[in-house]
Amino acid sequence: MFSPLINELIQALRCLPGIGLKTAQRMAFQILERQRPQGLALAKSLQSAIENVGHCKACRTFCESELCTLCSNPARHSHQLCIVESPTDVIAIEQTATFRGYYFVLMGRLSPIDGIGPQQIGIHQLNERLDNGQFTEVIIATNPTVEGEATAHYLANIIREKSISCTRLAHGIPMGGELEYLDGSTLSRAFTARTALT
Amino acid sequence: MTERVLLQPAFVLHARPFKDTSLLVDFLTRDYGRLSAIVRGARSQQSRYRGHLRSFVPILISWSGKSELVSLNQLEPNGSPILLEGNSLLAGMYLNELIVRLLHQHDAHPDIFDDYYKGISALHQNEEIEPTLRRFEKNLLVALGFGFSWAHAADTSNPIATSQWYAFEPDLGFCENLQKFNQRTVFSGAHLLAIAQNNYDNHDVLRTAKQIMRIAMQVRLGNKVIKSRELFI
Ligand SMILES: [Zn+2]
Repeated sequence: MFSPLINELIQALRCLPGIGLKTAQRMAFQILERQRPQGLALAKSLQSAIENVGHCKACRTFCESELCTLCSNPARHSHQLCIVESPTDVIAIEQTATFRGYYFVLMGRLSPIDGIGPQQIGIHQLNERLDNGQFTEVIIATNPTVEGEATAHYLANIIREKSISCTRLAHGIPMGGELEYLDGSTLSRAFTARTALT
Repeated sequence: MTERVLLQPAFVLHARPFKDTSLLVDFLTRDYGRLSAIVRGARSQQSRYRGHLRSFVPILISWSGKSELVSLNQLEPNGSPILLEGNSLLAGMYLNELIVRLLHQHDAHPDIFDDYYKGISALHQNEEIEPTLRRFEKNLLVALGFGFSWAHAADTSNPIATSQWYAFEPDLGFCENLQKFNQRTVFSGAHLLAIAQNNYDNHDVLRTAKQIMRIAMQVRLGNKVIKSRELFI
């Protein structure tokens, strides 16, 4: 219905998350009608990011240098390691300014049905990192989903074998939440993990 | 033609993100077998389904549609959630993977649903993991039509004898004629009879059961791999 090049552009845009046919058409025409320079800049930065961005050698997050800025910062607490599922989790934790150690990014979680096992979450790299003796405490901050919890359990078994102290983020009732509206899983988990009032 | 199904007992087997805020969920339902559904908005902060769309939580679901992919209209809790932890959680994920790999979509199996419910409840009550898995696998093979006798030899129909050794042929069962069914591994009749009774007190019986189930499952799985096995260290 459109010329071959336009069709190709529309199809290419559809690879983005949440972009259906209609949105892709709108985007294509917007770029061609009014935003040609911006479109060209987008194409260039896409190309250069894909060609140059790899994974940090230490924490596996995305970066174009060998070590990301966080890993190459010597002022962080060198004995603490926090394990997260994705780079956006690092950003979320960094914004709280409560953690000053280093990170390891799994780039996913164990999900056997999706074919994601220990190898796919970088278990060899994590083992190497833990075996250099730098860390005395590992904090597991995977999501409280079934897969995230399975990942936490699997990692905790490995970490404990290395005689490294291992903790996990607490989960329970969200701040500002009301018990009445909580789902059963969250509420029962909060009950089991209740703490003493001091 | 669209079909509406109301308040069907179900469990989530697997959920993966779909578009920005939705989930693509694989359910095991009691009367409609395995079912894939899109749950719109399930990942948004305000979703009323948050926390319920989780494996091992008994739920009731309503949906409409008759295609490969139906759309979920309603979901409510159906009994208390089964919170699996540690190795029980990994075992539960193994059961989920077995069902996803072996049960065809829309193939109704109330027996598998009931067994699954019993299995994860047993895991929750910290019953021993391995016997629970073996019992489930054994019933699953029968339910899928791949069952075989644990009490009689397949080639001679003689009762399995405690002092005899048997070869295992997944399509037939246990065979007495070890020459004809030339197998590298043979199994003790005493072990087979114990497994027939689901009596796994003896460790060697448990090991035999695991070996047999591996062979039997792999034949049905073809070239599919059960990835959860990598998680058991
Ligand atoms: Zn790094």
